Amino acid sequence: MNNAILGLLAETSLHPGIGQVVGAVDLPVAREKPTDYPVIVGSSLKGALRDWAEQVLGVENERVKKIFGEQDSAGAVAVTDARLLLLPVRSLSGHYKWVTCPYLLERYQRDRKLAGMTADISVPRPEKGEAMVSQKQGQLFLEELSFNVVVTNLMPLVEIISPLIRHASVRERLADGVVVVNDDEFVYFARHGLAINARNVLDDKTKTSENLWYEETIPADTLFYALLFARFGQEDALSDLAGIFKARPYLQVGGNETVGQGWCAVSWLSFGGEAQ
Amino acid sequence: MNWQQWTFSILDTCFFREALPFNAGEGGYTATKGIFPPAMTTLQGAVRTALALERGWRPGEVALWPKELGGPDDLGELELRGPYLLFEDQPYFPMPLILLEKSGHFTRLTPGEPVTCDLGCVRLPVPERRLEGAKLPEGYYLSRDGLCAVLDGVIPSTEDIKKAEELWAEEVRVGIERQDSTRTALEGHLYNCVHVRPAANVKLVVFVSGIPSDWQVAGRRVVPLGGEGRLAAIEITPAEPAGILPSVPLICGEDGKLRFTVTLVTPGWYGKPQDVQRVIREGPPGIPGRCVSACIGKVQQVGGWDLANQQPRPLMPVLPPGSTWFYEAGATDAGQVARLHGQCLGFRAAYGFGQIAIGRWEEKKNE
Repeated sequence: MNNAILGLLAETSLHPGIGQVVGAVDLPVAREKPTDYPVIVGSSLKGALRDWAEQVLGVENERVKKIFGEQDSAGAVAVTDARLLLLPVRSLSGHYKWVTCPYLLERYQRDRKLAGMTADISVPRPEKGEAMVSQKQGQLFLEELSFNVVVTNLMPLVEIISPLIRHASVRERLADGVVVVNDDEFVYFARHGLAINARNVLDDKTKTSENLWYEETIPADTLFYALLFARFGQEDALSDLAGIFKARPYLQVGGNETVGQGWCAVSWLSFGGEAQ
Repeated sequence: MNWQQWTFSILDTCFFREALPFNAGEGGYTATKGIFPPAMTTLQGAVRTALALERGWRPGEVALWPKELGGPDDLGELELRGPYLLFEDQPYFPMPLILLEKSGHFTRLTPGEPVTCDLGCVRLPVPERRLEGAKLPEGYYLSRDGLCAVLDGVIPSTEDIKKAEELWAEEVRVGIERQDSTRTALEGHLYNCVHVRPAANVKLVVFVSGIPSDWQVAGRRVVPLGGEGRLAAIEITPAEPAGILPSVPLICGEDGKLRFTVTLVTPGWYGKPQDVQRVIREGPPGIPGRCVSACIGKVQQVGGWDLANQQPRPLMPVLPPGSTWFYEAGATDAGQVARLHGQCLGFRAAYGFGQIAIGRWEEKKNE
């Protein structure tokens, strides 16, 4: 095994921050600059993986040092950014929908090919104002936007996304929940559809605010994935890394760990595309 | 000579650090920027490391390093060209610095009347037509047709010009070192760096020759490239580098003189600072005739990482691509000048530094 795909389904909201103020939000989440899509940057994800490996195997464990590297030698595994694939968006006409767009699906298709996995699907391409779904329904409202529903066979899509999701129960409702919208309309949800939480520090005696700030979070049930590549000749490092999720397939990424944020259910795809 | 085209697709972001340190432990806010496209000193390392790994070499195993791939300061049997930027599979080149730009309008520079200044009696470049507030077009790229137009002595059309922000975006990253005992950021170990995220249809190309014919080279692979172990997918196909540049324009002598321009397509490496200064005034080595004027960009610094010795390479000054010299030669030099088109001149020519394109210019007639 010299490469793998790591599926990350957010179990709690995530805050992979950038540590800088942008506009009215004090602590926004990291975004890809050209697309504005939320992202978990590779160095952050690698740090989270290392932290979990150290908790499972020990800080001074030689396997951990080999996988992640030391001051004077690079690690055996390279980690890409975790890329967004499905974003939960509130629907006024029912349960939330997992919204995605042709650009994200194309990228996932390319990434699967790069990792040596099959990806022979035809990417749905809705027009502006259209939402492609797999089951017939009336007008679809996502946040404040309405879409004309186009019923399409999304099963090939669902089949290649499903292995990224750890839980069988979640996978079962994927077909009903996935909605494909136009790239331009997806940008709106990615930019403006994330939750902004106000947080406060109170003075113990007077119960008045000492510090008020706003932070942005990515909602639970968001689906990300990252590519993992083993360096040439060190392919066994990926098997070692996969092993740390056998007992407990969860990973905490990003900030706000102590307020319960950042937990993801992990699935591991290697050649053949199967989830472990 | 059998050439291969190595096409690098950055998987997400890349970080080729400029010549500034991180200054760990210092207070205040400083962001270390990444440069793009990277210098060949970085890409040649990726090429040679990938080839060596396939031949059984492993980091630290000096004895297993294939001798055909040279050493820390030579390429062995390899020869490289590039790097070139591809946008939608078409090459784009840094805009020659003989153009001035103002709000999307361009004018050409041409050698002016002789003036006496600190460089001696020289002909400084002057705009062919007045364009108030026009500046050197930093961060502009030209398609092959656009470069062809500039080499032919005219202004490129708008559709042949791209700004850097259309080709890639800068992304600020914040990193911390976390203290295991407290699980909080370690004091003084917060750093900022600026990664570059190329657009989805932007790739880098390096041409490689000299790989022994009996070596099996995988057509596709993923390699770490640049800082922070960022990744790039490499696709290898047989291709000649000659096709990447536009063909040399027809240059006719006038008044018994052959007037032509020499434009750097890749950074020019000419050695120590005093040698660089001489090249700025006199032009790259090996060109017939006399340099009469020049439009040179800010000198860049090229470093890199010496994998064999596990240390950074010393920074060397290079002249930026787009730098252009105006020459006058004898009419009989036409053949020699045409043959220089696409050649690499100066230091590290085998690495692809100092590749030039020949263009034409005409003496402005006094009316």
